[in-house]
Amino acid sequence: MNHTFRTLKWKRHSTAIARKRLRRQRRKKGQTLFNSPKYFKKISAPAYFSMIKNPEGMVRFYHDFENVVSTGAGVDFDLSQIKVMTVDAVLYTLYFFDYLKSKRVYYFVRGNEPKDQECKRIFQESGFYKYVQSSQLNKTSYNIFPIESGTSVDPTLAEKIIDFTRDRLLYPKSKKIEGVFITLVECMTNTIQWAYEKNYSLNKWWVAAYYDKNQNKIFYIFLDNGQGIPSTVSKRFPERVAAIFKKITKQQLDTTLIKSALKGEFRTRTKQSSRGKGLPQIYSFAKEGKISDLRIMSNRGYIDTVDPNNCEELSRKFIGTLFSWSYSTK
Amino acid sequence: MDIYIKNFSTALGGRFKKEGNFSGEEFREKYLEPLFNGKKTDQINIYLDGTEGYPSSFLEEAFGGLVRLLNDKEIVKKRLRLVTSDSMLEKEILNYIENAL
Repeated sequence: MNHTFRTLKWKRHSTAIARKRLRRQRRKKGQTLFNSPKYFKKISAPAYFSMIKNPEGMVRFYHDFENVVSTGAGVDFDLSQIKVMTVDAVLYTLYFFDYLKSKRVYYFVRGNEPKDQECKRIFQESGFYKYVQSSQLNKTSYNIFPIESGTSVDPTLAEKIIDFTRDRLLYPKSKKIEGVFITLVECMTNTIQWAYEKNYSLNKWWVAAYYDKNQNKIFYIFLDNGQGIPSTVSKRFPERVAAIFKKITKQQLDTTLIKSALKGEFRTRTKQSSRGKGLPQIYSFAKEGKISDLRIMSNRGYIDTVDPNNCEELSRKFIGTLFSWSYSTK
Repeated sequence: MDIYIKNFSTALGGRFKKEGNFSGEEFREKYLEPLFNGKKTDQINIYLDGTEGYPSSFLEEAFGGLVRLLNDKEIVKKRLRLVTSDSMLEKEILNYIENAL
């Protein structure tokens, strides 16, 4: 081989040419991965930045977010007007970034922090900065078990969350909190087993917990970016028909399907009677009081097991499935 | 023969080995299946206390899976003796054994 092609100088030169070519190609396709977008559009987060307290507002917000990003514009993520924030919304924001990546949507986001001091503290201590590029340092908090993510069933992590719970509620090490532990593991198992079709590559879940000192309660949030419970459970023939005409009939189909899966009405796609036991087990814990405040969001369904009148069909699709529940001293 | 599940793990996982650690399938293969090979007839005491809890997926695959493997629920019911302070847990496992086939 000619000596010219082996020198470091030549290698640098050819790499630079290849990078230029790639940038030109990406600019042609409208992709802006390596270059900043020409303009940014400001999107203001809802004042109630909480999936569980403001589900409709939040799904609309992320729908708008995705619309802006898909035009190639950058996003100015304005959190300054937030008055109420819960960790589930922070967690969902991280998940949403991952979701965009999985769809190969290139995005540029810059943002600020809430002006409200309490919301700012929650945001800084949630673990958000561990997952994004930022000049801000990730802060730890006594009250928050920061966001963790995974792609397999991780009972060891679930045990750490139980240790966090025991510690904050001043329980001895021997005290079992099986309702919470089993709910965490079953949620992870559902993510890996049911959330995805066989050829879907990104099986991922996120989990976080936080201690509310005023209520002496621990709140847990679990989120996966799968297809959602209504999409993955087995549908009866009338339901399959109803799904086609959903927009016309305005039925609460997704909400109904989630409720049915929770009740264990033989919704497992495998049709095996030995399967599909996880969701009914979680629901039984909520009914028995082993966990409290169980809320589920999946596709267009929002279930509030505390107040059944609060169940609703959302106007926009919630991507993935979110479980939220709490535990306190009895 | 005594088996303490807490010695396998205090934090139990899901159904299959491919899903993650300390699954029902892993427990069954390591601890239960070897005891049902050949013509063994001795009683097996399974001590269930001392873990953080039992996900239904774990239990069904460990015990229900054993029945499906042997294609015989009677021999499983005859040889396994569940030892626990939680009677509901014992009931749940027996239910999985009964309905495995």
